[in-house]
Amino acid sequence: MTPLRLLARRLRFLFRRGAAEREMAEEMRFHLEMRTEDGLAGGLPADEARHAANRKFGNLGMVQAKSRDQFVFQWLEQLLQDVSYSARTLRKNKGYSIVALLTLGLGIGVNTTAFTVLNRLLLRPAPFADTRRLVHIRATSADGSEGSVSPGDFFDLRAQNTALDHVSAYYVSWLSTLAEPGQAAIRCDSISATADFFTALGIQPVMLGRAFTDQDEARHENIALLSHSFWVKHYRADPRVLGRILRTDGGFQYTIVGVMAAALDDPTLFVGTTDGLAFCTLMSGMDPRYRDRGWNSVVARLKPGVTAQRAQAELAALARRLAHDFPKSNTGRGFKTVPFPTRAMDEMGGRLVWLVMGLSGVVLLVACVNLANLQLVRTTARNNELGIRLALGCTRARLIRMLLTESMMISTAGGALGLLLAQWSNRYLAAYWKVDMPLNFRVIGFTCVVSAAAGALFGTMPALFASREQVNASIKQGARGTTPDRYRHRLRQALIVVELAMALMLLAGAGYFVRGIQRITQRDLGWRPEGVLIGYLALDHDHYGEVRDPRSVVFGDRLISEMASLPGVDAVALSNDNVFGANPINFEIEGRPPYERDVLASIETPSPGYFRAYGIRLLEGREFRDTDRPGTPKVAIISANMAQRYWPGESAIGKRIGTEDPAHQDWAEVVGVVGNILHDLEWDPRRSRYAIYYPWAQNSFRYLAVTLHSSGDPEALKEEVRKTFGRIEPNIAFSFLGAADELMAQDLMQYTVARRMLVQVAGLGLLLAAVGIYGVVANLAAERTKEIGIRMALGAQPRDVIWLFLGNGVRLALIGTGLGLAGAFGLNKALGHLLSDFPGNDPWVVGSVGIVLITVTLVACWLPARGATRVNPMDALRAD
Amino acid sequence: MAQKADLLQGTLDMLVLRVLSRGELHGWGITQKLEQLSRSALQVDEGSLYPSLYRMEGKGWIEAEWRMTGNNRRAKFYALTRSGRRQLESETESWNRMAGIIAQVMHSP
Repeated sequence: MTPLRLLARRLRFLFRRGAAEREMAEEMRFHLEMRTEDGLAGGLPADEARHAANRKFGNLGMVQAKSRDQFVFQWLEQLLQDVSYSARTLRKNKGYSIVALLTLGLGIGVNTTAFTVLNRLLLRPAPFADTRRLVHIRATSADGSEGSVSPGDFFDLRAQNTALDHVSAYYVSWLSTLAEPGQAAIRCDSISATADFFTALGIQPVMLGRAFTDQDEARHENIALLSHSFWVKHYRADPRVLGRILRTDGGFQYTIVGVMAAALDDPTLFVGTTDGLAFCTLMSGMDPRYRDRGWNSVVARLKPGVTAQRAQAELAALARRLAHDFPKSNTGRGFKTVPFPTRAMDEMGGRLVWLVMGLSGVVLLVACVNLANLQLVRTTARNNELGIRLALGCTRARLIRMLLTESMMISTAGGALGLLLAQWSNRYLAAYWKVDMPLNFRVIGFTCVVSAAAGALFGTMPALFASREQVNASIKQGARGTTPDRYRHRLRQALIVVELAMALMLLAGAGYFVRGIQRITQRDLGWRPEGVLIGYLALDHDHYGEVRDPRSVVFGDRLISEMASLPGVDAVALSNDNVFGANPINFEIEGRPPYERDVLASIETPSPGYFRAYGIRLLEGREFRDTDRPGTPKVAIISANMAQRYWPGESAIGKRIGTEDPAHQDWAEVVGVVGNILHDLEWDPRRSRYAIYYPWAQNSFRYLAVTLHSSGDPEALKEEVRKTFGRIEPNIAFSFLGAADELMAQDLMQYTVARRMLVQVAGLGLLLAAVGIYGVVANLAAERTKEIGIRMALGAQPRDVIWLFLGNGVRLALIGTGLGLAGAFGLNKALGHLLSDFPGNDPWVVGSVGIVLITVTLVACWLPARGATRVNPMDALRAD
Repeated sequence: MAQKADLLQGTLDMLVLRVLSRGELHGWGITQKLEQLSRSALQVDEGSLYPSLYRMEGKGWIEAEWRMTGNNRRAKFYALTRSGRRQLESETESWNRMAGIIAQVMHSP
């Protein structure tokens, strides 16, 4: 018999019971008749023959029962029985069922959501081949910092190693495509890569046309691949796009040779792209003589059989050779292989996601504890029933199974509800990360496992407990109205303590982020973000040159004067986009030994009006003037902390400084000192960096930042600014235009999302804990109704009764809070370690969270206690 | 009537398989055949036979079909399946080995 037929037969017995039973009866009747006929043939009278046959056969019912056991899925049948019984019980206890369902649904929903994010951003493998052999090569400098690889080093790496295949360089950047006639310029994310970039990654990049070839690279061809979405959006998916020209602001013209596969549009794929890739250009014609600075990332594939260690050793040898051959640029430089980033998130983001996942798990635990408590209460109430079942011969295993079936049904329903909730919350998260957040098979599988585990967790304990029940005791106990036994009581109190401790840790975790973000947003920046509108743009190379081109200075002057005439604008300034300026560099002071290696200053190149636009305080000397132009003496303004460090007790004005940057090789005279400012997520003013400002007109660059300050809402100004700019230079688009607040919010985004999720998670945890405590105390109060009645009849005051319960509550709250505080301090310490740049650690927050929790516990105890005092003593005595 | 032997635990399945290996039979037929082959030394208890049949059917060693008997009555006929035949072979083999070992021990001086 094939397994399939076997199964069919078994199922037939299960679901077509009647027919199967009839068949069995008929078969046995046939047997009996045959034996009777046998007897008749042997000469027995009819009656006697039938009796003899029956006697011989034995107890027909027993034989049938024994036979039946052989062919039915007995467990399945019992399961169906349990399910239908549980369904009935749950329907009858609507209140319990709804509370349980909501509790679990929320708990599982939170976890499903967290897991969707985790799955999408951290677990989903990149579509690259054999990622374990992919390595990223970084240049290291003497102080241990890591950086990009210079073109000269890249070519030597590619030519002189024997451990790596497909050594290829790439960099991610944004730029504008120059407008086709009648169209606005478009801001884009792009990758520039050498020809074998895609080969190194092991992907087939194109769906139309062709990819880059080594011949293209050798001939220094300017060619580009369009991303699928860019092609659809801007070329209406026209296959005749091949051969057309793409112009970018760098003054380049690229021939379009292909369109990339739609799967590569994923913005999480090439770390650094924000809106998804727009196009990919062939990087050719890098100047191999250029060794002091680079912006290339280098990716390569380990040759078969080569270990990362061997590759590393070879790179070290190469670095030593280069340091010997090019001491000026390569002294102290090394190379380091690191695993290629195949995950969508940086390390910090990854930690945050894991953190949210972990704390969501804690919420589910709290939910389970709550339900375990509720179950305990219910099994206590069902003592009679369970006792009778045991007395009638139900085995303990069967009893446990019956109770577990019930909790499994709740948890399954809770899982379904959780999926619905996650479906809804994922939409909001997908918008945050600009990626799809699918509830795929893995996520649904996760939800199933979590639901089952939750059901088992909150079902097992009370079920095991119920089956310990002594038959006699439970039947007798139900008849009287005494306090429940001590063991059960202890268990419930222990659950409450655990719940409180976990809720406290959740709150502390959320508090860490609330406090950290508060510290960052309330810090004294040294400048004023309100009313500041910032725009970034890149002038095109053909018309404005690269660095210090007079044409860009003329353009800048016009831009400033046009923008200044906009309504509400009271300050306009230009500076170089801090693509490069943000990286702090070494500096030199006249009359002192050159470059202290570990002292760095950030360089900014503002036009006059910059300090006013940002509200940076001028402490000494003067601001830049329109007369600080190319050809006039070089000047600089420095930050107060720098002046303090190098010229304590005297004025820095008139002193001369220089920087490593070849562009600033002559000495510049300090003409002013301004207040310190904080960058990025820095929040401690003592850690403010040194800053050196050079006048923009003496250092103009085609990558520009425009800063406007207006008395009104900067957001409202955006359209006007865009329009005005479009009149001056229709071929170029802002790569970013937004309020300073918005920019800072972007920097904080990961933390903001984490805070948002954690606050919700912790709020849910607190709510569940409060409900749980309330439930237990209310139930205790109900069980002690009679006792309270007696006490009150004997003259106890309501106050005494309230204290009876509060005393108990306070004890639980203190133990739970104590444990929770210990856990919360541990958690805070761990967080401080993991997120070292994020200022969330604050013992006061943990302390006040503890107070909140104690308060909530007391209220949750007080409410049912107060209810208990309203009991009429006579009613209470007659209760049950 | 010869002295009746108690069936060794677990041997009923093997005997039923052996009987069925000679052709299809219904439950009654199996009891008859067993008695006949053992020269009435074995009396099969129906209370064991039917559970055994159902168990083996569940394991797929035998399959059943309702058909007419020679004297035109409906009966459930059991037949050996391929896996039942394999089972019979392996049980026979281990039975023979066991019987040999037991005989060896019992007849040792």
